[in-house]
Amino acid sequence: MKKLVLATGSAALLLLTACGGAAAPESSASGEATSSGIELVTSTPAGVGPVDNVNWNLADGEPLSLDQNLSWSGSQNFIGNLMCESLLSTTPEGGLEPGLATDVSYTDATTLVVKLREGVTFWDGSALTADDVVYSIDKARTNEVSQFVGDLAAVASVEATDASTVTIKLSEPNSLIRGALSTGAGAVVSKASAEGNANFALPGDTSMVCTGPYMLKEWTAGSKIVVEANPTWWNKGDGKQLTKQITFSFITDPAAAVAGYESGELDGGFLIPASSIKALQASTVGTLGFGDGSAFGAWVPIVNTERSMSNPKLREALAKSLDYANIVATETAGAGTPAKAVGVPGSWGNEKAAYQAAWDALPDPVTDLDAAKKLVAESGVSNPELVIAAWSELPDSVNAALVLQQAANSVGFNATINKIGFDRAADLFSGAKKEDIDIFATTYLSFICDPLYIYSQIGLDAGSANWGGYSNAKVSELITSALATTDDAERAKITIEIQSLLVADYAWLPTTTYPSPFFMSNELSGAIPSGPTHLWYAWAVNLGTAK
Amino acid sequence: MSLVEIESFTLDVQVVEASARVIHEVSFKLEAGQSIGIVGESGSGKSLTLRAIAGLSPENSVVGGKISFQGEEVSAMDRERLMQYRSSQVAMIFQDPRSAINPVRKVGDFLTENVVTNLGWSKSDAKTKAIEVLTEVGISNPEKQLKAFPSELSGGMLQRVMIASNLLCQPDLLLADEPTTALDVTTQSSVMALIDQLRLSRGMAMIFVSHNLELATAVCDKILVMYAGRIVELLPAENLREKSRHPYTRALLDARPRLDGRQNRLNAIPGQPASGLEWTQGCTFAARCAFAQDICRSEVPVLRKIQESDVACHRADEIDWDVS
Amino acid sequence: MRRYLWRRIGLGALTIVATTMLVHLALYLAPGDPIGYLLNGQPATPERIAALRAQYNLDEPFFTRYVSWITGVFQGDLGTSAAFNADVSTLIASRFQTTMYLVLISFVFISVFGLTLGILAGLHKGGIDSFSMATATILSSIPAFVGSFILINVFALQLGWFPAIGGGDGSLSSAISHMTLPAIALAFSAGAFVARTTRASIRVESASEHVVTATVRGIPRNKVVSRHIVRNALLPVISLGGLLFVGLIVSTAFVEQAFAINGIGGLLVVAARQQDFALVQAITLILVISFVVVNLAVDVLYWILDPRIRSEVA
Repeated sequence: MKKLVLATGSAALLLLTACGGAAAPESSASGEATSSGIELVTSTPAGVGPVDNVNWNLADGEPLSLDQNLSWSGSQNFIGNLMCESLLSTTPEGGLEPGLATDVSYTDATTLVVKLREGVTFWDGSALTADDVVYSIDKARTNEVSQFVGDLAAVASVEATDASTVTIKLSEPNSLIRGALSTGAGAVVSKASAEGNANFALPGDTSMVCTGPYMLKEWTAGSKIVVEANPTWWNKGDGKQLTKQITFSFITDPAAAVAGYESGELDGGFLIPASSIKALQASTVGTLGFGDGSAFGAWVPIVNTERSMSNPKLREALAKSLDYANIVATETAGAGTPAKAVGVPGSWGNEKAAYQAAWDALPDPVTDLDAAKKLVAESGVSNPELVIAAWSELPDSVNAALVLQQAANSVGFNATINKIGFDRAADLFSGAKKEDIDIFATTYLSFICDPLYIYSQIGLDAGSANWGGYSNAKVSELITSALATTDDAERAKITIEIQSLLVADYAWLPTTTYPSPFFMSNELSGAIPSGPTHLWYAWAVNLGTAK
Repeated sequence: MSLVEIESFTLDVQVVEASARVIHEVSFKLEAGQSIGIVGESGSGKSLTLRAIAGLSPENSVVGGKISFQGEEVSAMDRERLMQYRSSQVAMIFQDPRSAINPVRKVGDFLTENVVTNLGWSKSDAKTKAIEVLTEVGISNPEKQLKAFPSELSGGMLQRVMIASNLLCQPDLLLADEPTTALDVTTQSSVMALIDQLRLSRGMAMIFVSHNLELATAVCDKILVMYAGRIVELLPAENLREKSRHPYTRALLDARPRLDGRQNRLNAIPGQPASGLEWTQGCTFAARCAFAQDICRSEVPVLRKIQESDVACHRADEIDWDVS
Repeated sequence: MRRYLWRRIGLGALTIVATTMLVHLALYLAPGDPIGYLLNGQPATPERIAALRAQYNLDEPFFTRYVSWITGVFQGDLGTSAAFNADVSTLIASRFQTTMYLVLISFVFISVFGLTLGILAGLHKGGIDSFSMATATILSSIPAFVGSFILINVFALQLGWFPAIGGGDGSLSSAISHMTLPAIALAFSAGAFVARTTRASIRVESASEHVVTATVRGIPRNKVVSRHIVRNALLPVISLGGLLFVGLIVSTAFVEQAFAINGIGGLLVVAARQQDFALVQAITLILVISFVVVNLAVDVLYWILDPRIRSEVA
């Protein structure tokens, strides 16, 4: 799961999005339209003709590594997923399909068996073996700087049973491991190219070897990364790899990037900053779209102190003071929808009907200042203090804090803003007790399209996103049982129960869904923009000419 | 026909919004081969008059009257004719050769620029001639000096270069604007002697502007005394000491420095020298004149002939100067 | 001449040592710990932190660090960039070429635009003067980002004459087409500065006595202008050019960002923000060397063009 994404190059808060919503497989649109009439898409129609080179921009800046395991360092997964495939594959709509593994199944609550695809070779010609898979998963779960250490925490051992079978033993039941193997946690690299290689996947290095549809051709540090189609890809076929080469640039300056798109020097890009959306919506050379997904924005209250946010009535009061329509408009350019819960529709990778019914039953987030004032009065705390944290270096963060401050004060809080530096990031995004702030904002992307993912992270006492110190024995118990439930329908039932408890508790105050804006030349089609699929799946494999 | 004939020359300059007259009704003639010394204090208009003869007038100024050269009015010359006139008929020597010669071009370029650019001489001819004239003005090793830059030569040497440059085109008239003032005392007299000798040997006419009466008398046929933009007296040089009549001229004579003095500040005349700008009515010198009467303060005296002098003074014939 | 030159070279070397030492000290004393950037916010064990500190010499005292750096420099080793995990010389080489193209092309625009306007305004009073100076003032008061924006929109997006972004593939022709717009954006304020200086210088020279001399000798006006006014008036402008050149390299940062050009200016900003010691040091070194070399070149040029200097030194 992705926390707040701090861009290292540009002082901008950039967002990713999550699993696609409900959509018919043939259709590119998710069928959802927001109040502003913007249609969210999960994929664009497959390209039809070949292209020699596509210039794609990643506005989050140049990655520090192409190793998909490493913590977010600017865009690495968008490039990495074209090269290093995962055991399972995430569909644009968030479902799971076979990838390098033909099958991944739980044989019992604590055992998964991975059946590898036969005849797959790395692009150096060597065969994919169970050893490579064991090495890759172990790297993802043991490397201290891996972003998947938490997601794979339940894994006790990974062993090659035979040349094409890998057995994963869990220390406790965890129904999310199968999903995790569809993310970068299940991405397989050639052990021979990575083991003992100090420069592996680092800037300028091209020694990385994987199996995917594109191969690393060139990395000019500070300038560009070029990948080219892998002619020996196991899954090649008509309509795939139409784009022979993709050149990634890392233009973080919004104006320069817009100029690049408009002039045709950039064919497309992800992570379009909010300030560029209007300009690009008016473009005649390409189309600005919004990918559906699992991302959302929320205020995270610190509940484990003696301070105001430990009081559920005050949390509820604050939730009722928020101007949801305004947040949707300013933070998502109108593409988002007010979020009823953090398990947003884009994160439903299975049991969509059940989740949809539960969602419909949840109350709509509405602004109700009178009710909020009443709640503050009932709380027994007069003029409760509220310290709002804002990143001093991010103007958008400060603006959001100002908006919250005004809303809170209007219903009886005594709200102040505490501007903090990035040095507080490690403290904020951990379970550490925070005494000098009461609430902070986050943008969150579920790595796995299963609402249990986010709920387990914020609902368990030791959950990796439980930054506010939320603790509820009933919730913990339900999550533990859901994690032990491998049947999707059963699990969904429990998860929905968890959801209603967390919503009622105002554990987090979700504000809006966060569709991911992307831009693509009208000459091209085929990109998959829905999150988190575009992070884990070779999003450009169908990219080609539009006509 | 005189070589130079100046009739009622006036010069008005624009000062802020209004225009003011700095030279009033100056008229005189200069015959070929003759030399006139224009003397006066700073601001008397002597340099402006001199430059006007070469067709130069300050920005924002209006020239009135007539200045003719060999019967041809200078202000009526078209561009081409004016250039021809300047390049071959008049020549000018400036006070400070160091600022009057382009410091970043070689001495040789300076010497030959006019004749090569305007008179169509070939470079080699010009060079040969330049060496000749440099020798003539007393510069040793002239070939080497042609390649030197002005900054490598002394002031006296530079003034000789300036003089030499004017010999190349054989002008009819030499305009010398205080040519020795900026030089040190020891070289002053030798440079002046050189000018005088070359002028005489070539039969050039000269207008010599100076505030040094002594010097002017030594090298000129006539002396023209200017005060505040007007001619106050015009007389043969040899008459200056004994027969000059204007109180200003007399005051200048009294105030003139001893021969060993370097600068002539004319401090002995009471009051500040006036410029043409300050005049309101009457005789411009009246304010400083020991002989001033009512008429001097109300009526402008005109030049009138008294013996061999032209004097602009109401009382010129009343005052009897004791010149013993 | 030789002694003059040696003295200048000696002074230049001293400048280089003093400046790099100062920058080293500034980085050494700067608040914050580069280790944070090296870890990129990722959790790390104390062992890993210790290893990184050792790798980048972060624990050495100031003087030891400086000496080891400058020793490396003399051996052609500029160190390793922590932010880019790459050899500093490799990182800088291609960017330096890019920035040089940008600065040189900009220099051409500054000269053409600044000198033309300055000479026109200096020689003509009234309308032309007012127009030229107004043009210079307006252009110099356009903020670089607005200038870049307008240039990109008009000449790249509307007219399509030039590429909108990027620095080209390294060849001269692609550099010229890619760098024209950024070079113009970069040239605005410096060009106006040159125009004003040139105008003032032309005015001073026009009023000088030697110009009267030339005029009174009948030299045609156009020759007076070219030989005596412009030629002399450009001397002080040339000395300005040296300073301007180095200022341009530093101010490329913004333009490089606006046009998405990978150059030294942008790199310096990133390097400074990430406290990338080796990179900041190396770029500073390059800037200081450029400064010294360009000024040396200006001195020599002055020596050649202005005989007065020669007499003075002699």
